[in-house]
Amino acid sequence: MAKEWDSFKLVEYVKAAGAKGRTKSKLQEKIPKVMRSQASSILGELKSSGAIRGPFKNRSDYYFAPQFAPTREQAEDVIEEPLRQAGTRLTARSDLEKKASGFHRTFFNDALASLKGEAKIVELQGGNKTTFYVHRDAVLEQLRLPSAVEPEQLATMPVQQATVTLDDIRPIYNTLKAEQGGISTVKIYDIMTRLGASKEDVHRILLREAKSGRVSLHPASTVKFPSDVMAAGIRLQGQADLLVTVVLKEDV
Amino acid sequence: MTSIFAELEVNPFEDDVVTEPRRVSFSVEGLNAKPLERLITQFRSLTKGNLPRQPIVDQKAQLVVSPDRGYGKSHLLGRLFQAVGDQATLIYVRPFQDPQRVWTSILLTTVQELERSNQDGVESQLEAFSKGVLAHVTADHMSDGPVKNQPLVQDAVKDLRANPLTMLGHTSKSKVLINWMKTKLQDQSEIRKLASLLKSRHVELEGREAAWLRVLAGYAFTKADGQERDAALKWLRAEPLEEEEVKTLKLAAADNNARADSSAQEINELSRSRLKGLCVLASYYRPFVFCFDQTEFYGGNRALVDAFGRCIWDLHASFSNHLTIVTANATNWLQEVLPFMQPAYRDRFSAEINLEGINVDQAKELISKRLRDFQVDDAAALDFMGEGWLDAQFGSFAQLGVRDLLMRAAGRFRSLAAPSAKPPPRTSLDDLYAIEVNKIRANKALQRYSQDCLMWFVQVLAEGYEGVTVNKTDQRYFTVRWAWPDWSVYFAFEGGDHNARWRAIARDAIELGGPSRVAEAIVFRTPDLNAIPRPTWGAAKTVIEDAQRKGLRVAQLAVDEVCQLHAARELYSNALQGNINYVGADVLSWLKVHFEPWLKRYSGPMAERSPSVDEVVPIRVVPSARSRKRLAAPAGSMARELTKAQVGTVVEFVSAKKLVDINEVLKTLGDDSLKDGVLRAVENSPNLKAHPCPQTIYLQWRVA
Repeated sequence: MAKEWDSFKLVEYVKAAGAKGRTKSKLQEKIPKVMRSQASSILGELKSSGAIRGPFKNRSDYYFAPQFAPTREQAEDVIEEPLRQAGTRLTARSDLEKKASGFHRTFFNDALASLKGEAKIVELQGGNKTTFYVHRDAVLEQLRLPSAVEPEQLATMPVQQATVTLDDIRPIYNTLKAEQGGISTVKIYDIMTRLGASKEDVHRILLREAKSGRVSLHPASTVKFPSDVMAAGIRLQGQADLLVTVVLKEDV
Repeated sequence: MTSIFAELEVNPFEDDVVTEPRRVSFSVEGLNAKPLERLITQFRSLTKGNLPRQPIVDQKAQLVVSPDRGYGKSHLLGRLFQAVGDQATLIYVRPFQDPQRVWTSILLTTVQELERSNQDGVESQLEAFSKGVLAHVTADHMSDGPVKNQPLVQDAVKDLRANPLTMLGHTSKSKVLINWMKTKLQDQSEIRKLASLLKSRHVELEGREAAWLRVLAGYAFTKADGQERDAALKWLRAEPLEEEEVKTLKLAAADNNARADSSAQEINELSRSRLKGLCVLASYYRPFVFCFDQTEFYGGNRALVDAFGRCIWDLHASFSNHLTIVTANATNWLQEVLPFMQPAYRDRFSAEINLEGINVDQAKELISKRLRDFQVDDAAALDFMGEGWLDAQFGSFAQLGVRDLLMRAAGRFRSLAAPSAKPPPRTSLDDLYAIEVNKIRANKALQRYSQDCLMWFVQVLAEGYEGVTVNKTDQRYFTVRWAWPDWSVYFAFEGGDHNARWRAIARDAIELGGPSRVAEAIVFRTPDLNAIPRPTWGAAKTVIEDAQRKGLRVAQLAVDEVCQLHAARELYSNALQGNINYVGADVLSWLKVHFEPWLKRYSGPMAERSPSVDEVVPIRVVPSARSRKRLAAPAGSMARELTKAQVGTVVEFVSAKKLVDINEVLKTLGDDSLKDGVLRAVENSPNLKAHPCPQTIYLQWRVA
């Protein structure tokens, strides 16, 4: 039996566990008895070939299929979302740590450093040496920087030479649409980045065309975009949601 | 103007989410007309030519995409249902929970949907489907027989093909025909001929052609509550049949191919086969329309996304005669579904069908209609939209999302109804949940057994409760386990009532508990299922009762509890879809706290539990005791139907009042316990509409 045994079975077993992963001891049980003494090297090989990831500590050592493995990005989300929800309320580091339970805990410090490095969150010191955090969106909103624009103002600003037109945007939009499998709702951030144009120019043309019905602008109420994508959105005065995606009408 | 609005007890614009596509009754001219047209055109490709048709395969799933929440995905499905309702078999699929039991879930939903009423007055979709199939098979048989050239036979064939439901209806002529068909289905040589006719039309049913015909006849030609019908439904649901049920349907023993000891995977595979059979039989009658709505539910769960992709791939590759529609919010689809879906699965979706927003003229039409429904006259409606209010809503845009518009109109209504009142705070989760409970209560079809909802409860709601580890097991029946260091609770999800399967479940439960009782095993039952153990059982009853002493618990949920549980999943799904102003994680946290009494009730050993096992624990629905009392239903019982006279009283009372609290209706009837019966009467009347609110349900009179 041992001769027939293929470590691929172990990979399948890990994969079947999905995001729950498998403990090292469970994996060892799956290895035929005669080969069990080599368990560490088998797991090591699978790990170095990229077939599995781990071990991740959470009471026991856990292994995951690559697509299900915990990541720093996930831990970032666990930190960023409550801060975004908290608005201007300060959140203590200890409270954030509580949110990062399970495997996310492994990445907590890295994720925090990354979010600070990318200026997605702001770190503040309290009087009693407590460290607090606040999301950058809340700060920007308080300072009314710089995306809170009256759409009427922006849409009616005089068009300067060499400014962006819908004809400039359309080919880029079509490429992005094709890249995302033909779905026509495209992020303003992606257009801006590909076009290399300023946010104000892109916003101006999109708002103007929205008025004529050639484009429609939308919030993303049901997903959480990274802060740079949100920062590229259009904020209309009096509205809570940023407009972060656009659809260009084909037949208008 | 203000006084008109102040008098209304229901805000006409607060109903801004379509939970049930079959309830859609109004659409604005031109709004999303193109997407609807595309779906109808796609459906028409399945109905070209005369019946019976060759099985039509290779239909990609139609992907309906909304740029954000609230552009009318479910509403579009409702309009499609209206447009093709008498030419299609309509199946609305809510999200499944277990990636390993996708087909079991879809088949259960399909059979439940088949039992729902049909637009052409026939009792259920399944009655129409089975009569339609049998009529055409009979016509084939007659056309192939020795007297096929007789004018009388030719006329009968024509009639059967043109009016299958009338021909197999309740007339004396129908009775003769039905008896003739029944005779044929009992004759081995005749049934072989019929089966070969199916094959000659490329309707392959894995050698079970005779069984399918007998099962369909068992449903079509018997009374609603008869044993034959019950057995036919079980067979369709891929449940094992008892010996007497096999005899009732006159099946061969081999056709009872759902085994009592099947594993979850085997049941899933058989469910797939049954569903495939239904689809291929649609060559003889109405094609299926499968609508996968609320796909945001799968987002972020790689296993579910993968299973969903595989299911759509399989439907496309192996199932015939169906139009599959998938709805999604664009950003969820792009961020949470597509990245985790294999390229081969992605290719099984059509190019997107993009939904559009509402324009100013359409907005006027929608607002006017909503106000008219509440007897607000045109002048007041014009005032409502006047003074530049409507134009201001559109501001810089040519279009708005429909729900956005309705939310703004609801705000306008509140400010006109009570000008000095402060803007209301965000609706609390208590109230949103209570509304959802009332919505489920007002719709009997949403109260049926749902293994997905029960799995969601034990897997998702239990996560994080009192240090529990929730994991899946390799057990045959008890597939989910709540584990603590020295105690476990196992859960099985069994909607059937086969005694051998229940004996096996009982034996597994005893084994799991072990001699030192370190575990308990729970199987939930809902009021629409037969009670376990069944009164007629002998040996099985003894085994089950023994198991119940050793840790098996058959947890009978009351109607009220089913409503609460289903409302909880619906509320969570609403958050994921952006239908309410809360994110999914917040709703989940709230629900976990709210359902703590449930978790407590099912997590401890039976002996320590108080109150006793089968006693219904009152669950907090809304904060006030008064509301709780109002929401409470008779434990464990199904609704009492109203008499004809009582229905007449309800209709008369609501038509006079136009809009009235259900409690006033109950007072008029003189019986508070008739609440569910009243709601059933409202469901069946085109003139009545229920408006679920947190504290009560209002009934509205509408001109149909």
